[in-house]
Amino acid sequence: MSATHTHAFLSHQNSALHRLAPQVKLVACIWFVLAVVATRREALAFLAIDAMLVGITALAGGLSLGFLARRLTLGLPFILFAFLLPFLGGGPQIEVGGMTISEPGLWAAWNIVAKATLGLGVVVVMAATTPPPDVLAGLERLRFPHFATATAGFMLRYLDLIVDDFRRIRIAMASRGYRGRWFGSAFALASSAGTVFIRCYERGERVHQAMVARGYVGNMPIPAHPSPSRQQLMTACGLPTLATGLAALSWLIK
Amino acid sequence: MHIPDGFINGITSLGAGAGALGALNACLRRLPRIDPLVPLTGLAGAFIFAFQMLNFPVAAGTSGHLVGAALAAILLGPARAVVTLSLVTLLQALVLADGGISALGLNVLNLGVVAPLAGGATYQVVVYSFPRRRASVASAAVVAGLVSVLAAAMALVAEYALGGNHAVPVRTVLTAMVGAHVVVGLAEGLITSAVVATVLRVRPDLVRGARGLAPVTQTGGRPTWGITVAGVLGAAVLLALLLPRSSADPDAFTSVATDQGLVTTAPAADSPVAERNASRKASTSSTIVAGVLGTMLVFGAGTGLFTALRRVGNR
Amino acid sequence: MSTPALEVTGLEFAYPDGTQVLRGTEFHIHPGERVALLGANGAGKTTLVLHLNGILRPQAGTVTVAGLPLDQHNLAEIRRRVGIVFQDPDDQLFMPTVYRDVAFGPANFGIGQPELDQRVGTALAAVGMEGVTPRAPHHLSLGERRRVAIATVLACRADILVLDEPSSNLDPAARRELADLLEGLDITLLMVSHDLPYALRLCPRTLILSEGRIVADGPTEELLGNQALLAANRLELPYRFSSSSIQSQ
Repeated sequence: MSATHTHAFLSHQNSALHRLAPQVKLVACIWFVLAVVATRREALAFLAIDAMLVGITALAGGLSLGFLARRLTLGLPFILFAFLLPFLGGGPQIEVGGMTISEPGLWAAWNIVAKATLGLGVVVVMAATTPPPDVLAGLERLRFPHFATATAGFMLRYLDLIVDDFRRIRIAMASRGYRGRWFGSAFALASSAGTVFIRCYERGERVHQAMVARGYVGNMPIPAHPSPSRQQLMTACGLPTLATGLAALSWLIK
Repeated sequence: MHIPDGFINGITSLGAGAGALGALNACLRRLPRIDPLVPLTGLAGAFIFAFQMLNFPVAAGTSGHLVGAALAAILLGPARAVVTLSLVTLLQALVLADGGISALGLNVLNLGVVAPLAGGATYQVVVYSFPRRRASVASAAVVAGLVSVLAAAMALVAEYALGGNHAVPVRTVLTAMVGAHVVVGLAEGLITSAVVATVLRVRPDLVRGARGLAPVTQTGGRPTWGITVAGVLGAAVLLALLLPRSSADPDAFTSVATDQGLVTTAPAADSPVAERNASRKASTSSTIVAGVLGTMLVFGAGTGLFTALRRVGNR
Repeated sequence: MSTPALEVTGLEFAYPDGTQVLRGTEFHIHPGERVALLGANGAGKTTLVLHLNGILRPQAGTVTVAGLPLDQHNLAEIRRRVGIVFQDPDDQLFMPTVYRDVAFGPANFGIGQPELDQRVGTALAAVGMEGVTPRAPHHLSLGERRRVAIATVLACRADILVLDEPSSNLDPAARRELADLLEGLDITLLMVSHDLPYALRLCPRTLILSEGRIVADGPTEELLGNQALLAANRLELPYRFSSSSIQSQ
């Protein structure tokens, strides 16, 4: 069973970052990522500063750098692909450590590694300091379509239950000798998935009954969210503004 | 298959995002404004989310994950599948940090729109081309799974062609992606078929794609053999059309390697270049042929699987 | 005679597949009464419960809540007055946070801020779960979820609390805590249960439902002391409980 969980990242603390309004964090996070992606890849110093900014933000959120580093291993698959690029790429070749590799390939690889890691880092920081329901609340506040946030709310609410259902079925299967070693045994898992789907649907019907019993007539109530203070806004916008500045500078100073 | 930041440029990503939003909007409009829509879609979405987290055994203790786009399209219908998969992809980016934020438009387009729609369309075509019985569902599901995965992979290649930095030529990426995802797609198709078959046995009313199909008849085998024969014939025709291209050509890697100068054969004049181009084209079509052969195998496997499952179910 | 809090007459209901479940169910409950509804599995208890707020509509018969007949026009008001707590709290708690779950009902019935906050606070306090508002439901234990589920209908200012198997799967301590809580609530109560000692503790009056009909209606002690009646309806007292010991109390 995959260990991924909706709150796999969440670090249960009460830092300033945790208290920051979710819609502000969402905007700041997205803005920062876009700024990083816009930064010229050859501007190594600026990207290094961006990395430091992410590190500082993590510390502000009460997260250790080790915590951050561990979560960053998620990006491994594409990073590995990135490492192949210098060997598969065309164009002018350069000598690095006794190997002849493609220069455009090397820069392309660096672009992916640097920006993917930075992007991942800042999203991890946000995910670690924002419980998933708050992320949805932030989206609601940002005028995301209500049907989408309401449906996503149910998805987050019941994901753990369903993952648990799968886990229990897997345990029952293992107790009856299931090994799960080769592809053929995947069909037993697939059958159990069919059963879980039916249970999900039936639960959906019962949930609807419970909603109707409390007056639901088709519109989910939209909760009121408190507006963030000026100070909160200023703090949150600090980092992405810096990153934007760095991005612009990276193109001006070649 | 979640694209990270820094792989595809911003404009392509924006364009993909716009396309995804348009498709989402169209699908949302098609959904009936019925009361239970939100909880039922939410629970279905939670199921797909959990399904994507499952570790399916592959070989020798390794395991992999499936997309579930074709599964969603068959069980929920294409419109709901698009909404569900798109939301799952969005949540994965924001809550699980899976997929880059700047690549969100690309990921939602590939996994949330292209995969379920391609899977759903393939399913409809196959299931309605053959006898309108539930027996067709299993085979159709296998093909739908394969196509959904290949379609998402192709979308990625197209995005790379438009907005990647081309240090690696598009042809190489295409060959690699298609080659790798034929196998993955086969697995997805077979698993999808097994899940749908289970639901069909217990609650056939929950399989949107099986609405209006006659229940499995007691005289089991014959309809499924008809499908297999037709499938094999169809694939054979395709094969015949594509075969003349290929010849005694170097495989994809050799041609790429020669092209990139990693193998020290001096680039020659027109005819060897033309030959290399032709062999590269052929190697692409060899991949297509492999795909077609795979489809044939899959057809046969699918119907065989359904027959086997039915026999097990009838015990 | 005051208006019954809940009156059910001649209820007949069959599911679309033809299964006849209710065959002329009839009973009434007065304000402030605490009534247990007992019956074997398949007797129609849950089906009956779903009729009390209009989720299911009978083919014949009526449901009246505090004089208000159940029809399309009165649906919203009836749903506010009849607070049903379903058996699985995970079906009942479907919002991302406890606050939003408890606020869901009143918000649907038109309550806005700041009264909404007050209602949520009061309801959670009534079930002894203050302070959990920002938590996600799946972080709570089963007993806690059961209590929050009750809070979700209390917040609507329901007149009648209908509970479907409230004590099932609870450990003994949680079971007792819930019983203490229910005893302390000043509300009309209809409790569907298999848990006969629970019924004995909380409900002075008992109805027995069998094959879609009410076959017994009387003081709980009297019904539970009637060995033959229990046996006829697939009901049994727990080990070492005996009908005679109940009678003698």
